[in-house]
Amino acid sequence: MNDKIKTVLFTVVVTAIFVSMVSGVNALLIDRITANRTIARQKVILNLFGLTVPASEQQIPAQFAAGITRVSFPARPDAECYKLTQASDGLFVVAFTGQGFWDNISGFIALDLKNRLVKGLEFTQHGETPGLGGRISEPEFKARFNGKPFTTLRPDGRWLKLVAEKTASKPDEVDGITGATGTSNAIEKIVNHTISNFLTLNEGGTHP
Amino acid sequence: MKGFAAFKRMLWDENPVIGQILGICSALAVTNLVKNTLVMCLGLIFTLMMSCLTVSLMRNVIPRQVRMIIQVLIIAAYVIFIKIVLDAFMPDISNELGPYVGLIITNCIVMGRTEGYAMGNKPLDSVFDGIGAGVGYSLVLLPIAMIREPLGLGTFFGMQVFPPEWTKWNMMVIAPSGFFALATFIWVTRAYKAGGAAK
Repeated sequence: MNDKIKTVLFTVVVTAIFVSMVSGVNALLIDRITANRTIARQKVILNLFGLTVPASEQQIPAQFAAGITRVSFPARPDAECYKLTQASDGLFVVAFTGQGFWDNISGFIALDLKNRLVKGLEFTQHGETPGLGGRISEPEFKARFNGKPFTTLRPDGRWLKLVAEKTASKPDEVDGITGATGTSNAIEKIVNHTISNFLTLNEGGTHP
Repeated sequence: MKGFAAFKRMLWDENPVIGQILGICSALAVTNLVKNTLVMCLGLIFTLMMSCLTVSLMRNVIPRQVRMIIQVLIIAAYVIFIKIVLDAFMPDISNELGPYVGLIITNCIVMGRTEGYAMGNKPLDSVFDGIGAGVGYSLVLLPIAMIREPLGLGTFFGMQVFPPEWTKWNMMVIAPSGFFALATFIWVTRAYKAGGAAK
């Protein structure tokens, strides 16, 4: 009996010691970790607006604050959207998250509302199969969306359609990824959704 | 010194990957990029060293019934420590490694060394044994990564080594090629070991 109590006490004490050590390290570094995450996101947004990204990571928050304003929509306070502080020119960067083939896919899309063109796409998080769906993070794939129009809906109700690789012939078609149909379909759904949502929000909103 | 013999044994004769076939999961997962492999190996060496030291220091006070739980607790604490430090100082690498750093906790090599060696040996010997197992693991993973990354992505340590016209072997980046590469590695080293024994 005595031994049993000792064993339990020992386990509890050892657990407490190690847990407090880990929590201590976490508490020390949490500010730095949060800052890193913010900087990573700000870097993506700066890139999508075509602004110069400072070489030193420390200057990114200042550059971001100087050039970019967050747009808020009263109807959807959780929607994350940015525009240039000066001469916004109808260019918006909108955050998105959607179900990928495996894990959620998150990122930002740059939309030019004046000319109704996609200006850029960037992913901040995904868990697609490396070498297959994972190719969505290659610059070449993301560039496939540049300059794609969303002026009129296609007959199938989409703005853009991802087709088999190297078969895109119309302006509203984008090359998908061979061997990653699931990922291609997910991206198609996410992009179309994001554009539609944003148009609904913005055209009913105050930011022409 | 006993620890030195343990260190040497872990490199070749009882190499955790090719001798004991442990740690295969991470060996397949991270070896498509040399940089990620290196960080993973350093993480494992650190975890092994610290866990073996701690377990060995505590070996006479840990009650037998709960020794495994305590070992996992110690290992987990060090691994979470690595994860936090990576998040804070190397966020890019931490992102790329994703869940694999956390999975060092379940790497059988660590538990194997703490339970199999550190529980019954002096701290200094255990530290050498742990580092040996980690280095032995790295000696297998790094060559595999050095083959997979150039063939699969045309790069080495992130630098372009093949001309852009190089057709990437997508196969080399995904897990199945890890199996092939690892199996070939084990086959060759075992054949060599068997040959050595026959002489």
